[in-house]
Amino acid sequence: MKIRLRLFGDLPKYFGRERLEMDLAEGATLRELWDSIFSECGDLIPQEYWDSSSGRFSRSVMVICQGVEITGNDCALSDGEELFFLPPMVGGACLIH
Amino acid sequence: MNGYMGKLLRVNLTTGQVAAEALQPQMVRDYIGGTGLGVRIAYDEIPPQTDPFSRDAKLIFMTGPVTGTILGTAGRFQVVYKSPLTGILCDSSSSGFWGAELKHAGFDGLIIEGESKKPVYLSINNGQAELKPAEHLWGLNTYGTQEKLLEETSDSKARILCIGPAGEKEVLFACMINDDGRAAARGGNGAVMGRKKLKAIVVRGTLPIELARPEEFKRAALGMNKLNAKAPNLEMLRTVGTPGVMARWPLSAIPTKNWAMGSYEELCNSLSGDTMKETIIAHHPTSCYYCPIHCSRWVKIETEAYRMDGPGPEYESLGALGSLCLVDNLEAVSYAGHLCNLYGLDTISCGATIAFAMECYEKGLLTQVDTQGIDLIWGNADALIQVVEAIGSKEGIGELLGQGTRKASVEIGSNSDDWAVQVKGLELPMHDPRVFYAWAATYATSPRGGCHLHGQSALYEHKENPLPEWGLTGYYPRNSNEGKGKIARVAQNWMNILNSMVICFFASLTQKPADLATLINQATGWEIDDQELIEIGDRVDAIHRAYNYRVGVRRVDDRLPKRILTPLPDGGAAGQVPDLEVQLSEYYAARRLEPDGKPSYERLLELGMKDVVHDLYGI
Repeated sequence: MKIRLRLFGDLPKYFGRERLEMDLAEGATLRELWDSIFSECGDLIPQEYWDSSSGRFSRSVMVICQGVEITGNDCALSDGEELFFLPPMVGGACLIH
Repeated sequence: MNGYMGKLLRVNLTTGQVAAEALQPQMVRDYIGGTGLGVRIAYDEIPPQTDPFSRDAKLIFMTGPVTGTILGTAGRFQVVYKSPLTGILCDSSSSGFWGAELKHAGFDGLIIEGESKKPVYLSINNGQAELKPAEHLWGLNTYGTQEKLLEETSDSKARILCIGPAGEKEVLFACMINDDGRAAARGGNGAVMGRKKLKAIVVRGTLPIELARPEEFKRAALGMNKLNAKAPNLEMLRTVGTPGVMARWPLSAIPTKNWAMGSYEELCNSLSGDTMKETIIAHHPTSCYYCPIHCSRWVKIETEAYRMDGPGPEYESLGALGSLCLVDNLEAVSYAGHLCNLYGLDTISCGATIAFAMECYEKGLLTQVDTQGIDLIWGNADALIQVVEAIGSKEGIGELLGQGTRKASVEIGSNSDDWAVQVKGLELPMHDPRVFYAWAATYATSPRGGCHLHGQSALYEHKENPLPEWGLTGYYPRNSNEGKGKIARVAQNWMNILNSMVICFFASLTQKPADLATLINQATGWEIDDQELIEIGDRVDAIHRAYNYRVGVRRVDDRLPKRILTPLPDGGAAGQVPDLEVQLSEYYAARRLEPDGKPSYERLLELGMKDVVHDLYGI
């Protein structure tokens, strides 16, 4: 199945684009999505945005699906779903440093 | 006094007397400068029951120990006064160059008192000051005033602060404008200046500022400037400026339709930084004093109805005049912001009050009879422009709306207070406490009312160990209440230090408390550390809170408007509201406040504020 990702704030700068599409097996969860992102783009993600101990984006990056923030790793994804990735921002600045 | 010129200029507009006086070293050591020192002087000199429009009211302009140095953004200043909009003590902040020029002209600050019979302006040049007639300037907009005064002074390096027609007519959220379109925006200082018949302050100075350890300071300041020129976290500010925040729309974080609905993509994209960049930005960002970030934008619009060539809107203006009113026409919103600059109006209070009026119109509490035929429906860009002009000239519906949402809702009646989105009379800025919960305690307790510049609390949410030096360890999810009272105190103290130094919040985003302490020490010769800074932050809050307590502010006033405690029906934050009481209990404990809102006796003594103990406790 295909999962679409939209990147906000300064994330597009690191990935070189605002939108990504990932191919995942039917019934995949967020955990599989993290693995897929890391295998395809791991070298692009700044370390401040990636939690290497849990193998996912750091908690600072908010993941929104159908208007709802997803916090766990076990959330099942559906074909065609679009996820928004937002780094913390305040006053026009992103907040990692 | 290293880091300071050691002098204040006192100007009495009733008598015409202008005199320099010495800064008090111990007071400076306790409060640093800017907001801290200004509020302390206001506490001593403006009795709490003073009418903001009386002759006893004062305008206290202050710079800080790094102002006028090569440190980026150190051209700012603060102005402290009793607000005619809120009735409590307000400190407003502006950027640009004016503050640095004032200091190089020989003064750390100005105390303006009394009231002139005729319009005047104040001219300050290298230690000399005089009042000059300004009748020929009365009625000019802020850009026209700056242009005329620059011609008259025959010195292109002079820096000018002035009011526009809104200040002259005492619109309650009229502001001061300096250096083209920079604004000390919030609280109505322009109206106070207008009542005093003071049209402008022209400053020019070339006097040196002595620093305690100039070479060390230079290295540190240049290092900070260099860091801010390249830091990845400031990239968005450098490329699209504050409008980049519109990208938070998926979280419902952009206030929409007077805070009644979640933000959505089409509206926010039409007002976004990227859209501005692609359509109306004329040239490379303009900069404040020595600032390497360059967050501002210069906009040029050719469309006849919205023709402008000037400073473009910041995120706050795009939100207040745009999404809050459901106006998605970027040119119209930019032009509305431009008009606010020309009249000298706070864009946040102006846009928020128009959104409030649109809701009154929708509900039948205002009609076309009240609006003189303006069709004040949601999203009507022409109506937006017409009402900004009416407010700026205090005519027609502008007379009612120029009082802000709190007073307008009292006049309109019914239950319109339910959607007057203000705290202590100050309209909320464009950050939603239903999305980032720490804004709840921060807005409710901000010493000048609903404000994001007295505590950028969202900085500390959703981040691992946000500020361990000041006790913020762990992780605070945006939509939980735990820790948010503690965050509000830290966020407010951080801003108290920045506003007392006086430097920009954006420039501080690469800095830690110890870095700021080092800069202060190198400038002044003091030996303070990051732990003393948090104490000073507490002291600045305590003196402001003590003043407002004497005005009559109590815990019951530390509230949020009903609209903000009503869940959004849709979007990324639907169905959620912060628990303000939980946050306030934690905040009161962190600040060590009494149940009625005043600082505790013990904490005041620890902060060395015996005179305040006497005033509040009669001991």
